Amino acid sequence: MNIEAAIAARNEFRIGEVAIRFEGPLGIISGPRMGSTGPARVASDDLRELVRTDDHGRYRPLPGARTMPGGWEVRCHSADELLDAIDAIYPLALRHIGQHERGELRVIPLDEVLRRQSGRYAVAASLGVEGRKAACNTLCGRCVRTPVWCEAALPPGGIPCPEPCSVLVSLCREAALWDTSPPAPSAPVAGLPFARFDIPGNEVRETYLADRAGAPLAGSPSLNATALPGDDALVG
Amino acid sequence: MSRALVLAGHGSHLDPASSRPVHDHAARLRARGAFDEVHVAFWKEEPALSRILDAVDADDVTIVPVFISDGYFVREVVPREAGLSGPVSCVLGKLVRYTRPVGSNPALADVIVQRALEAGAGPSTGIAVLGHGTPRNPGSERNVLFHTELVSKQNRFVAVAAVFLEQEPDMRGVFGLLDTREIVMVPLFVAEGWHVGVSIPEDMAIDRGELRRGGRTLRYSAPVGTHPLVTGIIEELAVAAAAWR
Ligand code: SF4
Repeated sequence: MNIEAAIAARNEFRIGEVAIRFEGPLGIISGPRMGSTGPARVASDDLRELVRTDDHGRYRPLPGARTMPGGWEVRCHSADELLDAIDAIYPLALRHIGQHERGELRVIPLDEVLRRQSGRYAVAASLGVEGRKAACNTLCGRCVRTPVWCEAALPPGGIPCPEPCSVLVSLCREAALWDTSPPAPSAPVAGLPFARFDIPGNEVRETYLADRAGAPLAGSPSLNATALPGDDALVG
Repeated sequence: MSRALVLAGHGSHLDPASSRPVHDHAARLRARGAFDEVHVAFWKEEPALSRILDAVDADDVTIVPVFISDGYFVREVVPREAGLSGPVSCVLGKLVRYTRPVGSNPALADVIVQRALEAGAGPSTGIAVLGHGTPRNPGSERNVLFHTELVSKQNRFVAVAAVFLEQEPDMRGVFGLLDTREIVMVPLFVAEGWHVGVSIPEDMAIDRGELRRGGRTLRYSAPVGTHPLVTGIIEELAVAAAAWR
């Protein structure tokens, strides 16, 4: 999907969890879960702050996480305002879609990203292949972007992720520490900070630990079969 | 030739307030119009430092680290993530200039003074400049001590001292360090984040910006990094870098 062409032709489209439609001179972005009461109107300048937290007020450090707050819409008065608003929701997504379409997307694999870490993150590079696979499965499975860095196939209309993000590096760090003596999985606790992987009950942590123990949590999201990384993509 | 400015910040996986001032400074710089493009990039948020050139159309890019300390992040993490080899690098075919951090600029001392005045400081008030500090990196205190000395030399306040969150002199000993009846503590931090907004007030038992002890009062100001004057410091650093070759 060429988004700039879709905007020029005023064709509606979806990106991640949001939908874009056109009414008269306006380009309208709407969030998920539009209730029967009608959406809250949000100014495009306030959008970045709005999508920083989920419906329960929990911080979303991963903009691609499928936890976008619902029930809002933004009315944009120009193509530039619309593009800026989409960039506030999914930073660099439009750039990466365009670069992917033109075959210009610079792709950096997980191994390279983990090897360049230092300080408290240096240990992340010691995570083995199975751990890397489970970390990618757990976190990228919760994200609207497709990790093309692990050779996942980009579905039509998808957002390519060209390089493992800092949240994934952070999960790999904790997972490397767990590798030597894995903590026992415990039940996920709702409302814990998304990226506090060191706290028992963190949903991402518990999904990862259950995956490593061979017993995925019921109902937890995971990558679809086409997106599963191969070993080569994970160790470089 | 068009020019881009990138504000490099730390960002956080846990604290949504951490990156807010960087976005605010970027918005002001866009409105001022000295650069054709103004972007933000973070170590722990998106857009990531390692991908920021994906966003830039200009061939001439200046990166200003919005950090107080000239330490590990400024010297190691930001250059590594952005692929820099020194103050001037060629990265993905672009000329990239990398300035000193905001915290190294002497003008930041004037912002500390402003924050102190906003919190009600007068000539007889003692000023505590509060830095993070860490025993793991002796260099992290350098800019805090530098600005404490600059504020002191302005002779606007009877006493000025540096205190720290994670090294000596500890912030909790501020009443022993300054003997004035009134103290204003100015956090030399970038953001109103976890430390400034939560952990420091809790550790110090500061209630609604104030702490009283034995007839003496400590007032806690807003952090330095959120002040609009910092926008001008960022611009000054970037404009000065334009002369580098
Ligand atoms: S690395 Fe995975 S979780 Fe992180 S942005 Fe990319 S696809 Fe999403």
